[in-house]
Amino acid sequence: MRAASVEGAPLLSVRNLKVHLRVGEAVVRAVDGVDLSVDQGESIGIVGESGSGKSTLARAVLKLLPNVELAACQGEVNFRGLDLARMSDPALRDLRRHHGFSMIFQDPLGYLNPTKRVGAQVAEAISGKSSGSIGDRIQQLLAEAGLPSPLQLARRFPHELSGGMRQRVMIAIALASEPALLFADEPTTALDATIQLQVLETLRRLHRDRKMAMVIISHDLGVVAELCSRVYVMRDGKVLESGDTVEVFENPKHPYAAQLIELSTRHRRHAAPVGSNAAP
Amino acid sequence: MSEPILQSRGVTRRYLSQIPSSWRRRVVNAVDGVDLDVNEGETLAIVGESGSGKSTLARLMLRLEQPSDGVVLYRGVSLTDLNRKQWRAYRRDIQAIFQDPSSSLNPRMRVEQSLAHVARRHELAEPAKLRAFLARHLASVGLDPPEQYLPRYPHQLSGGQQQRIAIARAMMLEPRVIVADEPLSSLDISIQAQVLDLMRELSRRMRVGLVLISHDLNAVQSIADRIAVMRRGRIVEIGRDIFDAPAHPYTRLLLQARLSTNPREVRTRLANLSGAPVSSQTIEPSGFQV
Repeated sequence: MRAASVEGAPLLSVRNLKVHLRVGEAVVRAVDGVDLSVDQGESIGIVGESGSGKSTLARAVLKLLPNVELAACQGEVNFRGLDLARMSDPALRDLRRHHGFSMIFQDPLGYLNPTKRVGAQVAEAISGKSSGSIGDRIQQLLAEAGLPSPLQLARRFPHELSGGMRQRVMIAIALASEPALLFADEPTTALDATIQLQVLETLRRLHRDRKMAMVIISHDLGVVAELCSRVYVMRDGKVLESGDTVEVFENPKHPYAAQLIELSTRHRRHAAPVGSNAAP
Repeated sequence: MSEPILQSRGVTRRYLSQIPSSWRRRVVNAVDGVDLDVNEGETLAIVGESGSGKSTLARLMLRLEQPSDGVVLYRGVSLTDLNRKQWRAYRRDIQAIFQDPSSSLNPRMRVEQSLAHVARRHELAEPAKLRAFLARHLASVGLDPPEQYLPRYPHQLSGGQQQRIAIARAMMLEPRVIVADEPLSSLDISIQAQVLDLMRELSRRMRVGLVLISHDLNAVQSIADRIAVMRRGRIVEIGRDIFDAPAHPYTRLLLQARLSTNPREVRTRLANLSGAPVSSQTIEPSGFQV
C-alpha cells in the first residue's frame, strides 16, 4: 500500500502534538503542543538540549514509543495524507518497510544484532519486491551508505566494525526500505570529528541524490547547520523558534535560542576554516 | 614560570589487541613514548580522536595503570615505583573526573553518603561538621541549596548535576592536579559552558593543575593554557596557539573537521545542499559510487 502524495501538501505534518510519559508515579509532558512540517525532499533540523523532548517527538511521530510509558499522546500526525495516529499496526509496518520512513540512532551498536552478520541484517530490511538478487542489493546499499568493499563487509559482525562503519550499516538498513523520509537522531554524536564530517557528507549526498527528506535531531547546532535548511529549536517539550537555518542563526528571536547559538559560536571563535571549504 | 607538577617521561603503554576475524593478536602501543609536563595551576588540554591514546595517558597519569616503559613523576617522585601504601599518600593530590558521571557515582548511595565516604576516608572534617562541610562544597560547585541535593540518589540528578558532584568530590580533597577525562562530552552545551567555567574558576582559585582530555576542540580552546594534540599514542603537536597556527597536518585536519555555526559559512554550505557538487573537503572512503 503506497499512499499517493497530495500535491503541494507537506510530506509530514505534525499539529499540536502532545506526548505525556509516565516516569514512575509522575507524568512528564515530554512533548507539549508541537507543530512541525517537512516538505517532500526537504531537510529540517531539531535542536535542543537533553530533556527538551526532541527525541521523544521523533519517536512519537514514528510510533516507536512503548505503550507502557505513554500516559497520553494526542495531536495530528499526517504523513503523505495518512493519519499515523489512527493507522493500524500492519499498515504502519507496511509504511516502514516500503517507501515510508526510517530512522537511525546515536548508538548503532544498540540497534544492531551482535550475533548476526552485517549483510544478513541489511537483508532483513530489504522489501520483498526488489529487483535483482538480494546479495547485489545488500552490496548496493552498503556501498551507497559509503562503506568500502561491501562484499567483505557484509560478512563481518557489528563488533568488528568501527563506530563510523556501524553507523553506515545503520544507514544502509534505513535505506533498504527506500524511505521518503529519514529521521536521524543524533546520528554523529558518538563519532570522532573527522568521521562525523564524512558521515554528514554521506547523509548530504543521500538527501541530494535520492531527494530523500530528512529530520536531523541534534544537540549540536553545527550538525544542523551542515544539513538542514530549516531548524526548530526546542526546550521543555515546546518549539521556541523555527525558521530558515541561516536566519535563525543570524537573528534568533527567542532568548534561549540566542543563548544556545551564542554558546556554540563562542566555543568556535577561531573556527575560520583552514584552507577553503566553500562551495565551488 | 611555575614548576612542572606532573610529568611523564617516555611513557609507553602496550596492549595485546585481537585482530578482527582472527585468532592472532598484535602489539599496540596505545601510548608511545610520551613526554609531557603539567605545570602548577596550568590547564593543559589533550585532544585527539578515539584510539589516539588520550584516555590511556590519563589512566597512566592517575596511576590506574602502569606504564610498560617510562615513568610518571609527581613533584619529581616516580609514581610507578611507589608501592600501594606509599601511593596512598599521593592519591589525594591527584584526582580524577571521568566522562560518565553516573558511572563514577555509586547508584545505591545518596550524594551525602558518597561524599561523606570520601571525607571520612581522608579525615577532611570532624564528624559533627561533616554535613556543613559537604554542603559548602556542593554550594561551591553551584548546587545550591545543597540540602536539596544531599539526600538524592545519582539517578535523581541530571548529567550536569552528577558531574558537579564528581567535581565537588575531587575538589574537596584539595588536590594539586585533576585529570579530567572527557568531563564535558556527556553534557549539554549550556551545561558544558557552566562546567567549563566552574573548572576554570576552581583551577585558578586553588591553583590546581588541570589535565583536560577531550575530543572536542571547540570546548577546550576557551579554557586551555596549552593544547596537546595526540594521535596514535604520540603527541604530534603541543603549544599555546596551535589553533591559530597549526604546524602538523593532523592538527589542521582536526581543525578542518570542526563544524561551523557561523551564519555566513552556513549559508554557503546549505546552498550546496541541493544540486551542486559535493564540496572539495569531502573525505569519503573510496569506492562508494555505485
